[in-house]
Amino acid sequence: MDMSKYRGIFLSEAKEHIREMSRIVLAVEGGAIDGESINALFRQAHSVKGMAASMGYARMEALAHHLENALEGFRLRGGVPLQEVDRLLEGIDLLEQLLHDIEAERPERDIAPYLATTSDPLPCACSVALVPSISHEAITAEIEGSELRFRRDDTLRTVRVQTQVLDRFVDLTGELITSRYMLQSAAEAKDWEALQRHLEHQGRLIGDLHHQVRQVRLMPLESLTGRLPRLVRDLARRTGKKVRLQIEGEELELDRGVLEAIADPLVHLVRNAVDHGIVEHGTVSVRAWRERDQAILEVADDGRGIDVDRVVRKALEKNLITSALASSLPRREILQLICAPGLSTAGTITETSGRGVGMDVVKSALEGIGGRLEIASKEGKGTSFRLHLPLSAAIIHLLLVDCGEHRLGIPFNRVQRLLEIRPDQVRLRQGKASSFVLGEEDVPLVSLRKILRIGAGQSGAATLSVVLTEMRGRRVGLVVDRTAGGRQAFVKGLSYPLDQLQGVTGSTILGDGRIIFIIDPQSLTGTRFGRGAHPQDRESCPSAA
Amino acid sequence: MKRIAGMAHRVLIVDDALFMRSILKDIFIGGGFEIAGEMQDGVDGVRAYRELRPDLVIMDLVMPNKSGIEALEEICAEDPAARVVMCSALGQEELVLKAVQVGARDFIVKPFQQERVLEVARRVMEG
Repeated sequence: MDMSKYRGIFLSEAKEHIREMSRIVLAVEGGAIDGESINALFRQAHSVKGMAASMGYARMEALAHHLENALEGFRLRGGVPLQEVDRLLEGIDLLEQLLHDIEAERPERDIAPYLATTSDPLPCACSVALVPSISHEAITAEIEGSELRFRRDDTLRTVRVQTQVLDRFVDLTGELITSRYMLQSAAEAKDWEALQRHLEHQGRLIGDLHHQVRQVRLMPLESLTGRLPRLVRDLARRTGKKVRLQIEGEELELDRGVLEAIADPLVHLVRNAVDHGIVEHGTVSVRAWRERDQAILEVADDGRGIDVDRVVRKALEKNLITSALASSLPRREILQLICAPGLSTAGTITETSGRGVGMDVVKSALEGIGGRLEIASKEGKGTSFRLHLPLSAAIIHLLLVDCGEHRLGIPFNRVQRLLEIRPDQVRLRQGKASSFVLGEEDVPLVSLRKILRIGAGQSGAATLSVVLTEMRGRRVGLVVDRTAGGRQAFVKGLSYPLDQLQGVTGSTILGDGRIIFIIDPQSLTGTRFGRGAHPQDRESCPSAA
Repeated sequence: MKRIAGMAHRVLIVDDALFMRSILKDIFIGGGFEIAGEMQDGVDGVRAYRELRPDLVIMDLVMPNKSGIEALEEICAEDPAARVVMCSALGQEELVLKAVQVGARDFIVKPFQQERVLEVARRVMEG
């Protein structure tokens, strides 16, 4: 029987079972694992065993069988002794690693050391050579080391789709084909009214299709947060801290692309919270909710908070800011400094937080999908990181702007306001417009022409078109030639060498066939906090006066 | 339950794993059977049996909510003529024995082998 066609189902279903096993064990940790949980664990192990046997994965089958036997033993004893919980988790981890091997089409790794360390060797369906010479400590060390290296979750690459949804796709495609012919005949007959009507109809169909596609791409946040209890448990053990993890809103559904992008950042933030935030005991909370057209994911702790003075000292030491700037920066901007590459405020680099992605990577990962990071912290009270996430990674709402002969797109979630500024609102510096007053704030003006190195335009316009946005965490007015409306756009990623362009995050095709670049003001310029890189110093605009 | 000439036997598959259901489904369709339905646990299995009245039930032993044995007991209590074949894995001999005592006609062992599954199914249908 050709089993290769069942491989996909095997991988996704086995993964679910293994994850569920982890979840069950972690959910009852602290209390005893009772009969009902043992039964549930047994069923999961049993399913994995049956599937692995069918696919011919002997080691996974052997390990699942081994766990099944162990669970059977626990069932008879009426519970899992506390000291056995770790062993059980190690076994579940090993199952997961075997699944990764299978997924990567590598030979399954050796499970004999694990089987050998089990005190209660029970008969196993498959013959596996036992190597009792390896010490328990050596294996534990290996397993613990590997489990902290966060593995990108491959479940995000496959989705299960209900057949009704596929049916709806087929229906919509059919309707689009019909609509195409209606358009064609209206065009041939030069019946402009009918053409307009059919175009509107087609617009609705495409909108519907877009909605359906988005639905398919949605996955609950739980696919990421599901592994956090384990992570926090292990970190807490390693650091000797007592940490409570609170997760809220994990049923919130997000686009797969968004989830993929925040998988590593989320783990890093939680790890940081335990490692650097929590002092001896405390709570790490991960909450998610929807806010207008974005989703917010917050990772917060009630620990020591960020020492702002220390951040400033470090930033000065590393020449990331000037002392003049240091004294004028508002608190939330100082906190953003921890995302500058190379700035770690941790007193010591610990085993856990010293590796993996840093805050700079967290921030750029977020910005890559059009999200942003908000940091709040109070010394002695705790720190919170809010990830503002777009609901869809592929289709976004763009503001079109013109600059010289170029038309560019700026994601609307980057635009705070659109302003027309009169000459009398502009403050001059050395004869050039450098800032303008908005309410009580003095907002620096930054010329998009300058950034793109396009020569100065004709200064005949009576007002300046300004896009109020943020660059490197600071509010600025981006001066463009003119704004040219908004539109929904399907963003295509750029490949080498175009992906090297600073601040350019993708491209899209306009209705007239023109390809335009999508720019992200946040990352449009180099390190904002670099010496002399302050917008006021560098990007002054030609005077509108 | 007599088969009407020319009509395929209808099989109800009850297993919590989509993986197993997919394999069984392919085996049975390949063997000329018709799939009456697929259920994921014992509770739904019993309900589907009542509604669909399939010619044959393939029932997993280990399932959430209601085990295969419990579902088998209920089905056999309602319809002593029910043809139920249990799926088992290695190491479940005791359960299989119990299932046969309760009323299972036969059993198939995982990993499934196409010929063996069809052979058991045909034998049960003829018996």
